Amino acid sequence: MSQGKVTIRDIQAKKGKEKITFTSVTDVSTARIIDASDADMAGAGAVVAAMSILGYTRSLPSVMEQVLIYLRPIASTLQRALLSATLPYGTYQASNEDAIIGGIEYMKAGVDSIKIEGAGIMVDRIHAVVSVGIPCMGHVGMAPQQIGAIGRYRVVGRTAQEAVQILDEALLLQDAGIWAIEIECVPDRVAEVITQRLRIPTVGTGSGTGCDGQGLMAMDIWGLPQPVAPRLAKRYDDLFALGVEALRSFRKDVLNHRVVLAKNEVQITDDEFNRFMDIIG
Amino acid sequence: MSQPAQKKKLTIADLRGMKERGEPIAVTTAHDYVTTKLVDEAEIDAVLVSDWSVATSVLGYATALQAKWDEVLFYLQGVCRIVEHAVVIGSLPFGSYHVSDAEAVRNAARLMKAGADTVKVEGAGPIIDRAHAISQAGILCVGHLGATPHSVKRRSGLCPFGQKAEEAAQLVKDAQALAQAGAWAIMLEGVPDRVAEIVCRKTNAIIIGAGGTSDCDGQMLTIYSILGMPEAVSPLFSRQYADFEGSMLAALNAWCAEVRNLEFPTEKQTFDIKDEQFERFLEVIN
Repeated sequence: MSQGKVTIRDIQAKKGKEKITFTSVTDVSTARIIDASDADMAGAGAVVAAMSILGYTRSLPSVMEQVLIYLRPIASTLQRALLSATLPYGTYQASNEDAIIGGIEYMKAGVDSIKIEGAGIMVDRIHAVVSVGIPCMGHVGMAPQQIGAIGRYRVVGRTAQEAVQILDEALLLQDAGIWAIEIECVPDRVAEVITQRLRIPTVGTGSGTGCDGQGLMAMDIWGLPQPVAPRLAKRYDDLFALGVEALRSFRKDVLNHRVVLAKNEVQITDDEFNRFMDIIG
Repeated sequence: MSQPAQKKKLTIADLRGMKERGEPIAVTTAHDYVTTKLVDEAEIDAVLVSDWSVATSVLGYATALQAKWDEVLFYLQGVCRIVEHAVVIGSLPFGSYHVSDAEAVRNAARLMKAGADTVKVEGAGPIIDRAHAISQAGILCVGHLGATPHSVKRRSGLCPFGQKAEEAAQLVKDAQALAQAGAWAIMLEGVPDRVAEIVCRKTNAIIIGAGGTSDCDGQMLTIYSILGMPEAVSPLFSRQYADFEGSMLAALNAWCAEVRNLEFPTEKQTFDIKDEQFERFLEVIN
């Protein structure tokens, strides 16, 4: 585990040398755990508010005010891992000014980088935010906020035409000034070619080992449920089963009047108890 | 993870039935998708969206007093959208019910609109009037006495309440007054068991013990304590049923090691492109 805050330069220096790890964070408790781990980066953007907290099956319903609620405390908790967060849907699409205002809100909340999904007109938005000095990541392939255009959660880039388009988008985004890019649900060989063609690091989510790094939601790593069950994530523990078991043990202890506290400083002396009984008669 | 079958939503009438049958009620906290799903899967009876938990475990404030209205409402909205089984108790944050009866009713109604089944207020004195006003407005109200989170500064820390005979007697009086005012349940926090037992006997409301108090009609322990999440251990008492912190850290590091050793992703987490399409892709870009 490296000491001090992981910076954009640190992540960029890993390209072609060491794989980058990018996970997610939802509150200050998980932030403390992420910070103690070996993960380089964590995300806490629109997906957290809409899906991890509010339980929607898409990331679209989150709004800026809600995201800022947890983004500020998470940013001040993370002493090491780099925090990169996706702007909420609807806060950056309409104009470059909107994108800059949203980006500044995030930077003031303490994130290390913002992330904007998609290409096309988003290339302009990204160019605008980067021009005013806001670090920004891109996101191509199956970008959750582009779900309307893509139609459903699916692999993108299985045809030569789609694959070419993703590469073109990634190159345009690189020219617009992004410092790293997430490639989601793109065939491994395509993602590998994109990675080779870019100067900036690529973080793959379901896009093979050819990327410069890997992204995986912490809940998926832990085996904890999300509103949309991941088809491909690998679990490194089954904390849902463990948590249910822990809660059932608690419930059983309550039913049996046996919640034995490991430590309990809450006692009353016999003297005081007898006086109490006298008072209430 | 298989989606569990639709569960029957418990009501406050169900909890009253449990008290009548002498069946203890299990209560914990929740604040997001994972915690709410865990609570429902374990068939916990009631779930508290606690301003204390939201403030300290979720948002990193030092005390419950700092949790803002919008913050508590946000997490309550999530739990209410997701919950299928447990009764949802919404904590009214510090300051949202103190000024007047009218404001208490207004804010209690806002928590109900977010989907809460009942709302919780802390303290006695004028708060008994607030509990009465809320109940009169047709909103089920829970009281909260003892070493309550909102009293942490006034009482110079999280220290037990009711260790002195006079304090204990005051608890009985306050609990009775709250029940009279319409509170259907009262949380007793950081109160000695023997005192809590007497409070139970002397009031009709359902008494839920918390913070070191256990011999009541029910028991509340925060979900992060039960799961063993970081810094969730109280200075007054502790009880953990799992080591989530250790397990989470180990799982994250196992994943990081696999990524660095090119062991993740495997073929299972990878998609393929047909050779013909891949060749065409290379032709176009070269």
